[in-house]
Amino acid sequence: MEPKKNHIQQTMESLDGMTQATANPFLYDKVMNRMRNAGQSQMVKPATLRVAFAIAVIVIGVNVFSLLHFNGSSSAGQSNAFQKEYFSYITNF
Amino acid sequence: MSEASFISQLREGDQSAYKELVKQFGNKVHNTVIGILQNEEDAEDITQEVFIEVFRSVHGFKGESTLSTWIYRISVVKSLEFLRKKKRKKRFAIVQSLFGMESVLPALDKPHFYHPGVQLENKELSAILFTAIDQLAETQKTAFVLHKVEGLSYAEIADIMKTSVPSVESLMFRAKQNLQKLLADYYNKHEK
Repeated sequence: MEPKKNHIQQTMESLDGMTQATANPFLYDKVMNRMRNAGQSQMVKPATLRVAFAIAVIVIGVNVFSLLHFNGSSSAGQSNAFQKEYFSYITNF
Repeated sequence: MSEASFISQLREGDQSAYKELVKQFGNKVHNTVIGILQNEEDAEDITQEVFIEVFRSVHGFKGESTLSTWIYRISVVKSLEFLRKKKRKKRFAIVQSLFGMESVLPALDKPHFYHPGVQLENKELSAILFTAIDQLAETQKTAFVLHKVEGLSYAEIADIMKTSVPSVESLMFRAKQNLQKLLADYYNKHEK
């Protein structure tokens, strides 16, 4: 029991007299580099967002246009075809 | 130069003030971060992030605490955030591996961490102690690292953790108790 207690005590005291870990000597340059890179990517962001927004508007516009235009015309086409077929049936009868 | 004028230089984006700040606090931040993260590479990365955060938010620094306290606070917050993120990733990797998805399981046994500032004769024992420190609750771990690794006083730690000195005393007392229990378990397992 006693040796274990000693071990624990020694381990608890193992940080006594330790010195500070030193930072990378190029820390300032590294920080500045990262800040510059982050700034550049932030500059790019609004441009890419604008392009993405423009693409989204075009896609939605095309969809809405085709829905309104072609949907209406195809149903009219269908009813015309039905009309023709119906009347040709009556006249033949 | 007074702290107020130094802070106003930092706010103006003065590069020489930035350099001076890194010179003054580089080791302090790195030592704190490495004590909490127990990994050299991660510590280097987070140390850089701390200074980026300091430069970006110095405009919002109200001066309610000293610059030193504020920087230590950012260091602790960033380190703990990083550890939480790492733990989440580890859990996600475990879940993925349970469902047979392609994910490499992280090593369960963390390798021993050797703090570069520990005296050579204490290297092995301190590595065992750091493994135990890593198992403490966040607040106990923070108080213990700031006191034992960074050498701050209880009053300074209280300012950084936005608490009272008696609270820090209590945190340290519980941290030491828990560490002794963890070490007892460790030596029970390894000395049979």
